Amino acid sequence: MIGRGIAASRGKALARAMAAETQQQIDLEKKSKENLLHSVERVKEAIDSIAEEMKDEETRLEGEEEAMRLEIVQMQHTMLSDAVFHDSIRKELEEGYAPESAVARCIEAQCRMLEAIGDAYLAARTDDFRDVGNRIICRLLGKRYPDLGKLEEDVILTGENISPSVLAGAKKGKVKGLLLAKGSRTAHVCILAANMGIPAVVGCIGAEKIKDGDMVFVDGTAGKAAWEMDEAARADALAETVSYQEKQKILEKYTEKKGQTKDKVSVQIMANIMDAQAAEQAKQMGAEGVGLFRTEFLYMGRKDLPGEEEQFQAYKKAAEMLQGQPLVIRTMDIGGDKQSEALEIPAEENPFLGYRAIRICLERKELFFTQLKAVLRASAYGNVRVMFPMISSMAELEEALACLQKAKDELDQQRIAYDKDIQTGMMVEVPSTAILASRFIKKVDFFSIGSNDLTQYALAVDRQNEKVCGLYDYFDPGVLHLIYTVIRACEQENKECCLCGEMASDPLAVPVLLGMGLKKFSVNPSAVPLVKYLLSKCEYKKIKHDVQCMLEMDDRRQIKEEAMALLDEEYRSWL
Amino acid sequence: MYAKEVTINNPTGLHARPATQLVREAEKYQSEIRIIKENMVINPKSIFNVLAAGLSQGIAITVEAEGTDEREAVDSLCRFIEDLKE
Repeated sequence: MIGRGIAASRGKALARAMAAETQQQIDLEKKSKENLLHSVERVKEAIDSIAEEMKDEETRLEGEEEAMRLEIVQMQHTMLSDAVFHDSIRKELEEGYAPESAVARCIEAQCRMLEAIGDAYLAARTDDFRDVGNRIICRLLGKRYPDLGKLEEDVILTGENISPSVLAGAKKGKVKGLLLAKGSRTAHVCILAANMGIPAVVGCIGAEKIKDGDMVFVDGTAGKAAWEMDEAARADALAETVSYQEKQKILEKYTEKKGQTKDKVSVQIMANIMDAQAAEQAKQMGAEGVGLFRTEFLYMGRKDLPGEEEQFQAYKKAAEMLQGQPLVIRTMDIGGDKQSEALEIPAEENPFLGYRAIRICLERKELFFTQLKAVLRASAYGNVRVMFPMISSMAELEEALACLQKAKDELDQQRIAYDKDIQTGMMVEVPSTAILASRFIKKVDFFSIGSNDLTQYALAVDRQNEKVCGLYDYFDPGVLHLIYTVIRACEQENKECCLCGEMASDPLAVPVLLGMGLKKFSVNPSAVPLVKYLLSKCEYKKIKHDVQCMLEMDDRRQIKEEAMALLDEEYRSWL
Repeated sequence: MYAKEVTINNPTGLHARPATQLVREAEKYQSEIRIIKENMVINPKSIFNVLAAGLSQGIAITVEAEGTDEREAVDSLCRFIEDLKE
C-alpha cells in the first residue's frame, strides 16, 4: 500500500509499525450479546493484567527517582483495584452494555463527578481516569496501548492521531517516524516531531488501519508512506532510507560552516525552539542564534501558570547556552491550535480568528507583565530580544510597547538589571501588518514573518481543515507579494527581517525567499544544516533577478515550475 | 464501632498523591471504614470515592470503623490526615 499525506517533518525512515491509538472512540450505548459471566471475566482479566504491569512500572520508577511519573502510576494502579470501580463496571455489564462501553461509561461518570466539584486540580485528574479507562479499553479490544517509555526496538508510530504527551514521553531515539491519518503540519505533535528530528507524515488516509508490527516506510520530505510492502518495495524503501542517511552525512559538514550563498553573500540561519534545552541542540546543529523561542509551551500541559521566576530561569538558561548569539523570545502565542488548561480559555468556533496570543496578553495584563519582566531580566544574561505575536493593528503594537516600557520602569524601580537597549520586534503574520509593513517597521527594531499564519490568513484557508488545506500554498502570488513587501520595508529602514515559518526550510522556497532579499531564516534545529547547504548552492545576484519575473506570474503552479527551473540537478535531488 | 474527628490541614487537601496513600493505608485494615463529611459517606478504600469527595483544606471529617482492627484503623488514618504537609 502506498499512502500520501502531508509532509510534516523532514526525513525518511523504515521500521516496524507500532499501532498507537491514544484515544479510543467508544460507543457508550453499545450493548453486547456476550454472556455476562464471560464479560465480567474478560474485564477482570484486562484490569488484572494492567495492574500487574503497573506494579512493575512502579518498581522501575521508584528505582529511577521519577517522582512525578511514579505518583501518576501509583494513583492509576490504585484505581485499578478500586472495589467501587469494579462494582460500577459490573452494574453496567448487568445492564447489557458491551465490556468496552461499560468501562467507558464508568470512567465518564466518575469524570463528570470530579468535574462537578469545581476544583480545577481535581478536574484535571480526569485525564488520569480517562487514561486508565483507555488502557483497559485497548486491552479489551486487543489493541496495544502505547507506552513509549520502555521501547526496546525502533518503531514508526501509526494510527489515527496521537497526543503530543505520548510522543514526548518516548524513549530517546526509538521512535523513527510518525504516520498518522489525521493532523496537520502545524499540529502540536508535528512541531514536536520536527523538533525531535523525527520524520512525519500526517493526514494520510489508511494509516489508522496499519497492523501492529508491519514494516512501514515514511518519507516526511515528500509526504509519502508505504506499508504492506512486497520484497521489491521493501528493498526500494531500504535503498531510499540509506541514500537519505548518506545525504545527512553531507549535511553534517554544513553544521560547522557559516551561512552564505555561492557568491559569498552572508545569510543568517537561526533556529526555532520550544524549550530552553533545545537551545543546546540549536547550537549543535550550527544555528547562528535562535530566531524564535516559542514560549507558549511553558504554559501548556500543566494546571498552573508559570511564574516570573520560573520563566526567567528558562529564558536565562537559553540565553546563556547561546553564548552571546541572539535569542528572540516571542511572548506567548496561546490560542489557535495551542491551548493551555491553566489559562482556562473556553473553546471557540474559530480559534485562529479568535482570542489568541497578544489579544489575551493585552486583556490579561498580569500575565503579560509577568512574562515581559522575566524576558527583560533574562536580557541581562545574553543577547535577548523580545517579539510580539499576532499584532494586527497599530493600536495593539503601541499598547504592547507601552506594556514593555512599564515592565522596564518597574524593574528600574526595583533596581533589577536588564538590557536597556533590548531589541524589540513583532511577528508579521496578519495581512494588515504586512500591507502596512513600512509603517509598522518604524516602531520596532525587527520583523519576523510568520509564513504559516500569514498564508492561511491571506488565502482564507484553515490549514487544519482537510477539505481546504490543499488550497494552502505560500507560492501563491498574493502571499509572495505580501512577503516581498515586508522584506523591502525592512531593507528601506535598514532593519532586520527574518522568516520563521515552515517555508524557511522548504528547499523550493529557500531560493525564492533569498531572491526576494531575505537574509535571515529561522528553522527547526534539525533543518539548519540543510538550509545552509541549499543556500551555498544559490547565487544571490542571479536569483534576485530571476525572482522578479516570478513575482509577475499569476499562477502558483507556474511560479513553482519557474522556481524549479532555477535549480540544478544536484539541488533538485533535495526536494 | 470506633470514631474520631479530624480536620484536613494541608493547603491542597486530599489531592492525587495523599489520596492514593490514604487508600493504600486504609486497605491494610480488615474493618469496614467510613469517612463522614457532613452528610456524605465516603469509602476510604476507594480512590474514586476519596477524590470525588472533594476533601479540601479546613474541612472537618469523622473517621469511623467497625471490625476487629477498628481502633488501629481509625487512629492510623487520622494520624495520616493530620500529618499531611503540603
